[in-house]
Amino acid sequence: MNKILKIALFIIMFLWLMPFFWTIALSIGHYANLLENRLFLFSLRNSIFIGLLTALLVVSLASWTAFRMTRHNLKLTKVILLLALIVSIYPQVSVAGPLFIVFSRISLINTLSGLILVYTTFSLPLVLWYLYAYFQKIPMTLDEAAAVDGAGPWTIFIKIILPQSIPALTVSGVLVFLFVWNEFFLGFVLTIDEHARPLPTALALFTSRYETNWGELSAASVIAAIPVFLLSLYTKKAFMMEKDELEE
Amino acid sequence: MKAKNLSLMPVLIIFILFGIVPVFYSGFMSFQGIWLKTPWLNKSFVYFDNYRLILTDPQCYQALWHTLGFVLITLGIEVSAGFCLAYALFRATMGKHYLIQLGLFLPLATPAVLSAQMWRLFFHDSQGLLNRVLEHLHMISQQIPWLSEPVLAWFTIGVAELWKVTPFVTVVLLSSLLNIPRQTWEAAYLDGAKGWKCIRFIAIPLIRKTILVIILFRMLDAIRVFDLVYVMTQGGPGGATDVLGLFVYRALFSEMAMGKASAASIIMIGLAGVLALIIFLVYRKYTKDYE
Repeated sequence: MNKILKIALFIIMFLWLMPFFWTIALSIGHYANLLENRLFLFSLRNSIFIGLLTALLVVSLASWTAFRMTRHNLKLTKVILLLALIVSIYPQVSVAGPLFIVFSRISLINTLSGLILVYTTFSLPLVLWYLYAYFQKIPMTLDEAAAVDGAGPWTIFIKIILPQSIPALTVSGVLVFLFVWNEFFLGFVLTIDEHARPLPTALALFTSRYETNWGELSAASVIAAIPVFLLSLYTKKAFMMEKDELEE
Repeated sequence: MKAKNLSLMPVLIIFILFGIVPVFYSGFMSFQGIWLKTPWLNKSFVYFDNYRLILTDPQCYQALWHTLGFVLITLGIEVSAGFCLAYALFRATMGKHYLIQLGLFLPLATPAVLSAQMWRLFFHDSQGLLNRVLEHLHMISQQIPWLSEPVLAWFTIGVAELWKVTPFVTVVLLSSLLNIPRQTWEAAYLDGAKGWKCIRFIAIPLIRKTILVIILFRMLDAIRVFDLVYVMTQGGPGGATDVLGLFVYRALFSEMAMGKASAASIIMIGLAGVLALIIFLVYRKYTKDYE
């Protein structure tokens, strides 16, 4: 009985991964063409650049804020956590129009900095909640000992909190990068110029320009998927390790 | 005291400036006749005209019913299928099997646009794997137009969504099943509970909190579905797969009607709020009498 169940589960899993196999099969032999496609290369560069900068920005902002929120009994803490929840769940189509209008007014449309600002806003909540929970587990006695030795909050943050939370910081950085790498709607709305498009937008609009070029599209999909898989395997491992540590 | 609060300011300002203010701005513009091309000119206060325009628009109702149907059907299937899979994996003690975890994790991590394109490719008339296999097996005489037939188009969109989301539900439910203490199962076994009874009286009651939280988050996510439909069918054929997200997008960037789009997006937020409230009330009721 158990054996039948196991075999059935493996078959389900194989069927589940079918579209991947098909995409990879169709992509073979189209990579050389793709690497001459300048728009694709532009979008690849844009996404890498935006992803890295957003990750850096979000992790530094969120870690400092989460540190202050856990270490002091501030009234604003609840406000910020609530705002984070609200920002992460409402339909994002509703901000598309206003952001478009304001961004074209201050000429942030089509710029990487505009996208970085927006992505920072929408990926902050997750990281903020995650780091807030993580910092709460770091004992306060360490801070107090350092404070007795005359360390200010900044020193405590840099020298005590950050070194202890490097795994959590990298996981959050990777999560933000993946968020940026996967996000479609905002990047789609806030870029008009083909050269400013992030990768998902370029992938979505691939067919309108190259109507039948399925080979190149699948090659582009495979390339876009590689970092996602590597990074998400890494985060999964980190999450698992943390869970095991908690259980011990 | 001031310095402490000051250090929270950057995040607070970002949230308010880019997360909250645009929504209120949207709400404000929904009472205006305002156009995307010239947002700083020709605005006029039109009271509820935009809402009247939308609520008498059959396209809006079409998009609304499609969205609600999409949310309810995918939610129902993904939660039940996710639970069955999670329970099967739990029973077969394969929850920590490397291959299984990989299989669950890859779809979950795939960007939405990517999975949409992959499924478009899979269901494509002449290039798609499905039609080719069916033709090869002589099960069909001509290619099935998966993406240009209303019912079939919904079917393919549903498959793409479920393919990506069911593993997520499975992973979460599996981890909460694994968190049920071993003694609970042993006690149930000693009392003679088997098969269905284990599911009905142990598994479901003990993880129902998780199930409700998943339903809440998946629902809020499904209401704003856009990328999948946009990439796969663009709302076609003939508006047969239109959803609210696309409706707002079209009002905004095809008709350039900022006021109308804002009103529609406010309605969308209201819808999400009402559904979230219902789930929250159910959650409170269920968790209260349980504890």
